[in-house]
Amino acid sequence: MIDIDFIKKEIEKYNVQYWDCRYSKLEQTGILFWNKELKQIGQGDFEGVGVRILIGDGWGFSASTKVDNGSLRELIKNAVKISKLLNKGKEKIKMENIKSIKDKKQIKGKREIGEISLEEKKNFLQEQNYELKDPIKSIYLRYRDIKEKRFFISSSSEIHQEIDSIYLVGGVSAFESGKSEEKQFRVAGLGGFENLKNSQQELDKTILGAKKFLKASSIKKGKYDLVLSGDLTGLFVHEALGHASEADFILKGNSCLKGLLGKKLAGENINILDDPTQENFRGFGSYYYDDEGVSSRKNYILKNGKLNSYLHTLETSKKLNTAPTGNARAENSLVKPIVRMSNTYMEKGDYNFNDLLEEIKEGYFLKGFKGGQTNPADGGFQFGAADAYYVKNGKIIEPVRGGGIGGHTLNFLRKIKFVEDKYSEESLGFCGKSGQVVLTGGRNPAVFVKEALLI
Amino acid sequence: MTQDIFQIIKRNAADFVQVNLSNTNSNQVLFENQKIKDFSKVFSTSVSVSVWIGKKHGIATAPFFSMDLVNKAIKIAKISENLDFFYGLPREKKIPSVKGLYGGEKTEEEIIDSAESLIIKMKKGESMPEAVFEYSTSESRLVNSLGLDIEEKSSLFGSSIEYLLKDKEVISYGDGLNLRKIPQKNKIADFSNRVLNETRELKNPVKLKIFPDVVILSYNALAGLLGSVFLSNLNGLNVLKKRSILEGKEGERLFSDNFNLTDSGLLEGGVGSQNFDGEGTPSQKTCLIKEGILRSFIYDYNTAKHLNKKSTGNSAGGGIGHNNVIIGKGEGVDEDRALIVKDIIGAHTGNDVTTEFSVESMGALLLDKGQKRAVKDIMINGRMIDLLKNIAGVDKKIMNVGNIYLPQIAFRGIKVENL
Repeated sequence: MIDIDFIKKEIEKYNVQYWDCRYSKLEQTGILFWNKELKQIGQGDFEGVGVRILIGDGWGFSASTKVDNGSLRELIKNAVKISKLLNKGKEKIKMENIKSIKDKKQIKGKREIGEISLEEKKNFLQEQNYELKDPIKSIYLRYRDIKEKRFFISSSSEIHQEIDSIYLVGGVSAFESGKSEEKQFRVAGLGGFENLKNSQQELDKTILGAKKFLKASSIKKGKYDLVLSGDLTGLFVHEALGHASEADFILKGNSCLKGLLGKKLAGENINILDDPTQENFRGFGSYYYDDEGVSSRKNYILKNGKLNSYLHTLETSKKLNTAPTGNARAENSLVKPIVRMSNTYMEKGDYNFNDLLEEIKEGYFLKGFKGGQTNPADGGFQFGAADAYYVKNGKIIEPVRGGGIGGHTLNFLRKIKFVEDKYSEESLGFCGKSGQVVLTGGRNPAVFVKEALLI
Repeated sequence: MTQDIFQIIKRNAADFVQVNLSNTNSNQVLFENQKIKDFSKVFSTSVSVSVWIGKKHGIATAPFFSMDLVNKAIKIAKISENLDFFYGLPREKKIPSVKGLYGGEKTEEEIIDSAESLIIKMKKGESMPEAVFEYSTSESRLVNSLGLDIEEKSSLFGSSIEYLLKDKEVISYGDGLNLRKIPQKNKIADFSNRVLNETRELKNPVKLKIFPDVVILSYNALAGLLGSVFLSNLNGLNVLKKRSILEGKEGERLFSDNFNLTDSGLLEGGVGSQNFDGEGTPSQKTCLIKEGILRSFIYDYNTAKHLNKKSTGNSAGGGIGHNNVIIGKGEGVDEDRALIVKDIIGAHTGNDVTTEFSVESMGALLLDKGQKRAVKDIMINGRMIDLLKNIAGVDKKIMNVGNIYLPQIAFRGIKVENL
């Protein structure tokens, strides 16, 4: 743990405009089973502290895995030195003021992961039931849990958050006659083992999927009416719209959403929000406070089809003269907080799933995701779908191999016509940006997309 | 620490112990809209203790070494299960000293001074929304219970830059530079100018009407595809897992005879060079594909032993990974009409077993009788294993994209489509 009074006293020695300090401590367990054999089992600890200093228009950040007072003094000195070096004195960077907070919060499981022995965790994976029989050639199960303590201090706030997270990723490979099919599943959540209750069911579905799609014929690329499952809707919402709504991209001028606030980008029935609160559901990207000490809140990115808000840090909200959104996040205390999403999702609509399929004369139902990439500057994106089904006259005819969606964010938004009346899939993501990975989530309905590009 | 490890062995608490220690000093300058936005300085330490009791293996990591950490690894190993195979650890002590790995410590002032060379003159409508300039120095040490105690000092330089042009439509393009040392300021400015000029080439793109037979995959596009759908097939661990399309094909002519691929940890100043790998095996140069013939896979100590081979010095992060991947240069690409694909998006949607891919170009040019014209909304599809049999030409100039050193290669057989 760090000495808060010492940090405050050290920083007070310097004339700084803004400062904050973040400390984090992690205890992690990782287990890998491959083809029923335990391949790796380990535990890791991490502890670190980072100090951010603003003087004029110079930001300095210094961090270390050494957390003793001597190292803290050195860190603060370094951060001040850097911010003075960068301060050109031309314009002062301003930070949105927020109310001071002193709080302690935690998200723990019904049975805390720290109370479960390593042996019990190993046994849980060992007890997953599956057979390695042709065409299934390999199955891996990768488990990880993280007990994380985060401490945020600034001149006025002291916030302590403890969040446990857990995930199990499984992969199934099938090979036959020169064809290969790889399927993955994830079960995960904040809290404890209760998040893994569907692991066996998901593993069974994944094995069946790998066998089924191995024999399938390939998709025919082109423009079609499509139904996207909730997790693929979630991928589009996060990757294509969510990243483009991050205010750092807006300020740098490399977002296709720049200058479009208040503009209608989609149908009236489309509402998309970022919500780290746990009012309606606890997603994988939930938190109480962001890494600048801003309390979590619900932000509509699109409301009734109109671009309603960008996502902000305290600096970007001040620059764009708008309220903070609580989206400053850092992977750990060794990196700076930047604009990040939390749980990003589309609100459910009023079509049941079969009605969505009924809208397709000839097209495809795409389910799950298999990687993807987006360029927020021009809105170009490409996402692979894990499963695809050929649909004719509203009926699923057969599974097909390959498939994905591509296009441009703004064009694609306009093509989303109907939205499912329930949240059929939960998104569980590990989102990367600027070399940092944070947990993100969401829950999404399926959607009908008119004349979309199937790639 | 070494004595502590020997004590563990003496009292029979474990059969083998390996400790990997590292400390890193990293500096990052971040640019936003042609100005330095901030500077981060981070000092981090990491220790990983691996313990084997018979074939049972346990790992514990923490920022610092302590006997508690070793005891934790022993405890984990005891509740672990027998590995399929474990033959021990390498004991080779003759470690090479690869040149050009360490560029020395730099002050914050020196780093900022060099980083500012990225800012160059731009025309109206052009901007540099973001750029990153990073320099880190590391010391790593590997100690094992067979008496190996080796150290390495290294540094890494990396910069990435993105340019944005606003004309009839937004053109965004970026590239990176990865080296061991911070280059001279004029070289940094040259890099920035090159990326800006390449971005300008992409202005006013048109839709392609007639698709050329030949596609030239430029450095980033080729490195992206090789990294996503091909190189994993040369990994010994994937051979063992039967996840390699090349399994059992050593000695066979599988590719065009102008395709040569080597893995080397010895390349002077190479981004992926190192004196020894993650298990302490000395670095070496391994020919994997020579004149189209598959010669070898890459291995760590235990996978190699299990497959009756020798380690190629490729143990990395508890698995097997490439050092520097070096694709041999050729006699040049001489095409009248070809599509040049500079970069791609979606490479990781490809299938790394069948090597099939279907990706969108991010920056493409039509080369027609010496003239280049930007084209847009292009998809390219193919199977890398087949394409490497259909090489139309290999360029003379080699560049590196991370640890992949490669020329541009012209292929026949890549299917080109409009989006």
